[in-house]
Amino acid sequence: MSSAQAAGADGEPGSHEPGGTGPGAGTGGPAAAETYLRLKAESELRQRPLLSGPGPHPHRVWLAAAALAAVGAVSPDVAWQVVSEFESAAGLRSGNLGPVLGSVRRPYRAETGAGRQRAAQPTAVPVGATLPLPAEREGWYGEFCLLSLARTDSQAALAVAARWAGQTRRAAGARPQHAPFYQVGAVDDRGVSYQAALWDMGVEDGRDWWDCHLSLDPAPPPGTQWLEVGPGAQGQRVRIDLAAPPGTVRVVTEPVPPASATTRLLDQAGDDLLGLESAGAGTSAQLEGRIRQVIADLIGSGTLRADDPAVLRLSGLGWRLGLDLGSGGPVPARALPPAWISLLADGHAHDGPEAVAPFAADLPAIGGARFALAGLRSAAGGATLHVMASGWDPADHRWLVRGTGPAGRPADLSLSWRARDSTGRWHLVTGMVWGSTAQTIGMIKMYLTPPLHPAATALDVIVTGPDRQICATVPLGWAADAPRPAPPIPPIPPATRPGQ
Amino acid sequence: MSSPWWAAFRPAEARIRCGAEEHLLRWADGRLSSTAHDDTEGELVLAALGGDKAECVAMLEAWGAHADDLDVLALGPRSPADELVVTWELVDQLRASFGPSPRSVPMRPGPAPGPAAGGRGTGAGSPTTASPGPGRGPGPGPGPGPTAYAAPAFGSLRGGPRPRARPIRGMPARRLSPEQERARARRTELLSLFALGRDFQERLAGQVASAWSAESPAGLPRELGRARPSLAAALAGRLAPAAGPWLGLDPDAVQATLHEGPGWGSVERDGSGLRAALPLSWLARVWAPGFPVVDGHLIVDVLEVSWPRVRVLGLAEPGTEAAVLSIQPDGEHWSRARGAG
Repeated sequence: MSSAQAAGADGEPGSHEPGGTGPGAGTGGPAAAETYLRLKAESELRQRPLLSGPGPHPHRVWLAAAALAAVGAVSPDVAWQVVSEFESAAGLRSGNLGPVLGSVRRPYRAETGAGRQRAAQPTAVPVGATLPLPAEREGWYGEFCLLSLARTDSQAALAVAARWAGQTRRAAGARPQHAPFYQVGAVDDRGVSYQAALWDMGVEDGRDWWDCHLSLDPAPPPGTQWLEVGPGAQGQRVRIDLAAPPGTVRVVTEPVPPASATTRLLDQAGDDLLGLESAGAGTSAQLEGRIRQVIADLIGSGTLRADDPAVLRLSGLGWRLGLDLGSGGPVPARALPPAWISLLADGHAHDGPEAVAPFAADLPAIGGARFALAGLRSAAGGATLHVMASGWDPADHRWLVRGTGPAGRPADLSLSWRARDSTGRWHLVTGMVWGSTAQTIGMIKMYLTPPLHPAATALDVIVTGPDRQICATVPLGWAADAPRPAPPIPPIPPATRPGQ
Repeated sequence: MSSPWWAAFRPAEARIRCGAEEHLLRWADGRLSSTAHDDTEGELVLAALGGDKAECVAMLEAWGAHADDLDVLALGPRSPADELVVTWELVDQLRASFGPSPRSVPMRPGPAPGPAAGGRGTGAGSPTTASPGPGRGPGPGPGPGPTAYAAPAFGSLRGGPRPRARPIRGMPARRLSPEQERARARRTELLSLFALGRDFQERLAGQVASAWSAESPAGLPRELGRARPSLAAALAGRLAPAAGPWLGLDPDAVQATLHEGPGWGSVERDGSGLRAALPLSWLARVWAPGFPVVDGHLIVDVLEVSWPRVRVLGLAEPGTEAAVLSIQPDGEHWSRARGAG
């Protein structure tokens, strides 16, 4: 076992990386990675840490374990074991003995293959209609822009963009902070009724639009011809033709050169960096130290060579963003993925059209998962893509930013998502929100950054797996009754308010 | 033939409550025994048949069960400054919070029959572990402390207050699987051994390191297999706090690997750091008895023990030839024996 010093790219106090294997390594194997992780734990234990436990502020050993487990350098079980031993040891020294016995419980994150399920085939049909809603108590009325309907044998949901469309009288109060909500239902061509419930509205922050899901219970059975959703204002209904032929969607599957998990992880880190940078200048600095840690852990554990192209291009990206990722320096543009070059140029664009695109596309299986694209809402600052997934759980998508996912599992690097519009502008997925209830558990909202180009007429949604890539080209045929932001309502003088 | 791994240890003792009485546990010559139970094996057989198991006997059984437990090295102390906050009160709380289990026996510190005196600690929570020296029996010795028996050796922690164990409250009420039950019982059992005090923690660590570095019946080194990373970390985690200060280095600058060939290994400068390859037996024979560094020498092997003198190999500098030294205990520490090379 080599014991030379590591590159010291950790960026933490102290220049020595315990257990490092030095630049040029990369042939470590699981035992070397586990040894590195354990030596990291020994080093941290010498600092007499006071742990608050895994969560929003995971400790250094957990971060290293998460990185090594994400790329398969150590198994989830070994990662859990080292972390739990470290937490127990720290607890025995600080008087916090909760972890000492709590660690006998094997956490969900250590269960190999957790979250995996048999992939049912989701399908989607475009809708592209607006259901106006009756006025609510506040005097405001809303509307549901129904983008597309996605379903499997067991569940169905409509992708919806909801907003407050106006007010019935000037005496109405301030616009509600919450999403418009109105109980609707559905009925099919056979007279079968369905309960409809609005989910995943997000926080009540008074935004212009809420991207959400209208679940249907039960799922329409095979053979159903159409559904009517309503009633809305004045009893209006929207009919959805489930037997409509697929639209003009082109789906191409092609092999890609195998990429290691470490390569996918570092490329994902680059996407995360650019996504944060696009969201606001300087925000990517929060990832700087974290990525340095990840690179140091991968190199130090012998999982990755310091001169690996993935390291060099990520470091090159950091250099262009003014970030020090610990190794490497400037690299030519041709060494960077086209998506990164595009983001470097257009990352701060704020010119997206305010519109919805009710497309639908069923994707072939990839990485053991299946997906259906179910429409998109575009806004000036970005776009929200609706996807129904089966056999894939992206709950830990932003683990790199937060250090760990809500479920505490290592990141799932099996698939990556990007998009490119017809003008050549690339878009990264900077966040995913997974359906929060059993009725919408497969529905994902993917936030694309930067916004779609105003002249874009189509969008390539690109899903990349370990050995293949799917590119679905969907039309951005903005819906005929494309929504426009509600006109600003002039403030009502207090003297005119009713009751005053 | 080299001395057994335990030859450089002095005996250690701790008092625990056993039923209605107070009994003495004694570690000497690599074995833990109870002076009040002269047929522990017979008592274990009776317990297996449904009879009561005395606390002393349960502790002896636990010691044997953890004799090659890697958790001992993962959780146990790394250096003299590295203290565990494990008390009998805590062990009792843990047992109470989980309720009785098949392997845990009710065991708690005994009453306080006499005033606290002697030992290395003072006052409430002070230890009653004693190190009477080789060949000494338990003797009358000091009485147990008023509230705790065999707690770890206390002392100031880098000038700050010593952490105290927080009460365990609200442990998860979810049902444990049988595997988790066993793991919980085993962990609690280990904590009860740790609660015997610092002397016992070091000796148990030496026992475990010895078990993993022992030769197989065929005379071949034990196959470390999947335990190798744990053992490498156990070695590094204990060498670094000793070897770092030896050279004025940050302990993180000390790189340690397991030496599995003939001889004691190697210790060399590596740039601004130190690179060492030592056998796992170093933990049992050098670290655990407490003399990793003596009078400016990094001790790398034990040649012969003739208590209280121990002939060792020590390095004055990395990369130099190891010198034969004779050392002996000097209070809490070890120093060069007078008139010896």
